[in-house]
Amino acid sequence: MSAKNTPENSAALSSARELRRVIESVLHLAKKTHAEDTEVHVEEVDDSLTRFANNAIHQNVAERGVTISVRTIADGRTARATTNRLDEDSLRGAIDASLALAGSQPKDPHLLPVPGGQPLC
Amino acid sequence: MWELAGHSLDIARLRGASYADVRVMHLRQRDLTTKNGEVGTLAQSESIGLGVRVLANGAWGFASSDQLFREGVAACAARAVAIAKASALAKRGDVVLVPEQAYVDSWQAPCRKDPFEIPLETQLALLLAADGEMRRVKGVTLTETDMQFRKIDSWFASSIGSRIHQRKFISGCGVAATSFQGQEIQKRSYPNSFGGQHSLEGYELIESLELLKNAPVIAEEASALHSAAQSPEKTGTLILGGSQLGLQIHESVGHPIELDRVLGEEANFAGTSFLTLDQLNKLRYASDIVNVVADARLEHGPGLGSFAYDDEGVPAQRTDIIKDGLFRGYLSNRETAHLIGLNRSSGTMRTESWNRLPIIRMTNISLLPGSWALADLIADTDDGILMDTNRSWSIDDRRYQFQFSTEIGWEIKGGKKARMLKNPSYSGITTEFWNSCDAICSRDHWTLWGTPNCGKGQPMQTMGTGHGASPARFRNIRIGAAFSKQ
Repeated sequence: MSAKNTPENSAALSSARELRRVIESVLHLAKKTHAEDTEVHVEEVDDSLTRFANNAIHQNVAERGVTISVRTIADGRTARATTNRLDEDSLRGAIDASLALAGSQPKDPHLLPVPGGQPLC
Repeated sequence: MWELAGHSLDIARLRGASYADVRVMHLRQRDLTTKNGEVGTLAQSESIGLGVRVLANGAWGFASSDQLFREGVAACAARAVAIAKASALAKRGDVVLVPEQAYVDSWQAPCRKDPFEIPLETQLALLLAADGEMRRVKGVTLTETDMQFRKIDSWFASSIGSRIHQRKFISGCGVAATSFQGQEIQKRSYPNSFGGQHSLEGYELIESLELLKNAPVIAEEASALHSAAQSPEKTGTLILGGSQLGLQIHESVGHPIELDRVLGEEANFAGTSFLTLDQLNKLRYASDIVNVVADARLEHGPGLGSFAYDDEGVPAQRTDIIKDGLFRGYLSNRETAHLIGLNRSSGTMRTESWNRLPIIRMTNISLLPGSWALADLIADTDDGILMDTNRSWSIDDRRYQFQFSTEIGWEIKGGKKARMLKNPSYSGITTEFWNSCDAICSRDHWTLWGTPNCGKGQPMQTMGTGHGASPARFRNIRIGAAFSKQ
């Protein structure tokens, strides 16, 4: 996420503040839609794996990436859309996709609202 | 994309890579399911990023990132080189690649109707209507439908000069009816179990399946299976329907010919292989009428294993695997081809996503059609069982001894399709089974089936593979019955 990454710190994860900014962006953008509630899940991974076979390293891989999952609720319907693009257009696209998915299905009479704010230990 | 790909190659070279390739991939996916008339899954996702694979100091390194800007891809390439240099500390020898030309190309798989342009409401309405058709049938207690679409753009660049863009649409759809009665569960699926049919096509695939016509048919069968006779337990003649034969090919031909499994470099999910290198061109894998190919070319059909170039930049090819019954070929890549005497990869390196290392994968592993009409084959069978649509499978970790069960069986008596049989299963040893094949139906009955869920590697990668097959007959097969009361 940070444009400051260099080869030497390519594995560095984003700061909590940067990730929180993504969440705030999604929630802010969602307020401009007809979504009644919005849930955002942001996950960042940095995985490395070394595999040995026949007494040698044959696969040695590393992965870094962010996933933003957006669930909206509107008019008794809900759905989720996911992206890994952090620009505003893409975040808006994920919200719109979530609303479009939700809007295409029948109302769910058993749908529960998003839980209110919960205290964290 | 090309600018970012080129920059990562430059960085890899500067950092000491002797070879590098990069894949920028943009994946879009839509999944819809229903269950008992209600919407289940309704999800859409997209993911874009880049993976860099390099050779440095004679060893491989791979790194991936979704940071698609110059500093991000540079960091990713540098990380891949650092990983390769670390890998070189524990290598047996330098990796040697067989030669390959550079290609500059742009290719798009045929797609008449972009599934992402079809309204969600239309897609969901079709599934709910099919679900409703099944629920109308008495005795059906669970109905399920699903639809999946993927759009994949990949930009491949390598240090030998290749620049290849490919665009693929993948569509899939299926319905299933389950009937519970007492202690027994019976299930029928259309057009195949475990998600239906999947192919390298657009929404035209869904329209061709005639879901509303076929959904009530399988629902009736699911209910009727409860009063059907139990499959006998005996050694006898077996006719396999095309979709079941497709899975048989996948498990007992496709996996054991993956050269990384043969060489002991991969054992996840499907184990290793009984096809040791000394058996190439010597093993009587099957009877003389059996011809199996690995064919990734679009001419073979719109299979899940069809493409123009693999993820190593090697053009799609057709390779004989079994020719007139003789074992003739493995699935290889640029690193392993020379180990079986080839001077060129067979073009089977594939990756699930930008963040996964390409590995040897099945393409379309297909049994070529024979000459029989299905009606003639049945008429020519005095006593046998026709089994169709997979229900379960089990095969040992060298792909040699197996057992399959199917959703439905039909007794063949005196050349006629007679009563329905429930809980059919069969088992065997791979080479004995394929050597017992004495009739294969013609191209009129041949379908290129899609298996969308083949797992391999670590981190696990899910890949779609294609398996062309028409119904075929096998003699002296051990036939059994699941849930039999001894």
